[in-house]
Amino acid sequence: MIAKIKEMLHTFSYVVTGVVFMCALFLTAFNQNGIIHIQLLWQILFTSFLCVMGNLIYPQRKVARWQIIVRRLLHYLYVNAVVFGCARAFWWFDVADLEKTGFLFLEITVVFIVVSWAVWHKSKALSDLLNDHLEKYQNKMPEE
Amino acid sequence: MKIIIEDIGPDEEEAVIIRCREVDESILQLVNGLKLKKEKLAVRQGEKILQIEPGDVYYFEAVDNRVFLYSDKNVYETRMKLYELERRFAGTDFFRVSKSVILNLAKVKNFCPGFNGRFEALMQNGERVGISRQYVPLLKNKLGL
Repeated sequence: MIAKIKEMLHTFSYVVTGVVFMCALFLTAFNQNGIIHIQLLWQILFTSFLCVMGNLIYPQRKVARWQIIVRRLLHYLYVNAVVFGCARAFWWFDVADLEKTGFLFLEITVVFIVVSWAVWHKSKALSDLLNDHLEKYQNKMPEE
Repeated sequence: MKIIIEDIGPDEEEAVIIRCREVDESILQLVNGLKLKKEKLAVRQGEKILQIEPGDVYYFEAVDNRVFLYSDKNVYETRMKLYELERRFAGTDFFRVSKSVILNLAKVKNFCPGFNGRFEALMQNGERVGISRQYVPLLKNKLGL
């Protein structure tokens, strides 16, 4: 459980970074002369927190590859639902505006892919390190 | 390190003598490896009861209160519980990687990242075994990281 919480906190930092970039791009594109309220910072943190909760969809036990793919797809849909839900709840923009909705949808997709890659890359770096040490471990004879 | 193998007579007892300055991790692994070779595990395959060398086991897995052993191509069942196996093979190449699996590190080809921060062990026979996050720090410790 602690390991899961640690992992989620790590993902949270990635998601917050992604959402901040997403907001910066969105506001630059559609609201250049607008005023940003302090509530937006809390809304970013809240939205990121809800997005990270989607990680609970992945089980601790081993599951088939197709199940992982299905869960990944559900996770992506969940993230979209959270962000658009928050956009509507916090009055970020009118979700009926197709241009803004399309832009946000694109941003969500990019952030989802980048965060997934970053998490995978971190695991890859650790697995490479483990493989180096595994090779040394399997070569059990003491060094000359 | 020198390796000396002496021929002995048929009546003499076989012995391994390790001469070292201190008993470090590599010496302990050698000793545990030798011990492992001497032991046999009583297992069941269908109606047959067999004895196999623990070194041939790729991993142990608990499924619905039953414990199975996976070798290169065969699957056996043992009456021992997973925690009993864990105790019996403590300090050897066998290492617990999840609540239900004990893995033989000597049979791991490599580790690879799975989805969402998980890890998998790719075994030498091509099978993949999941590693729980909570056991990763222990695995790092076991491998001297």
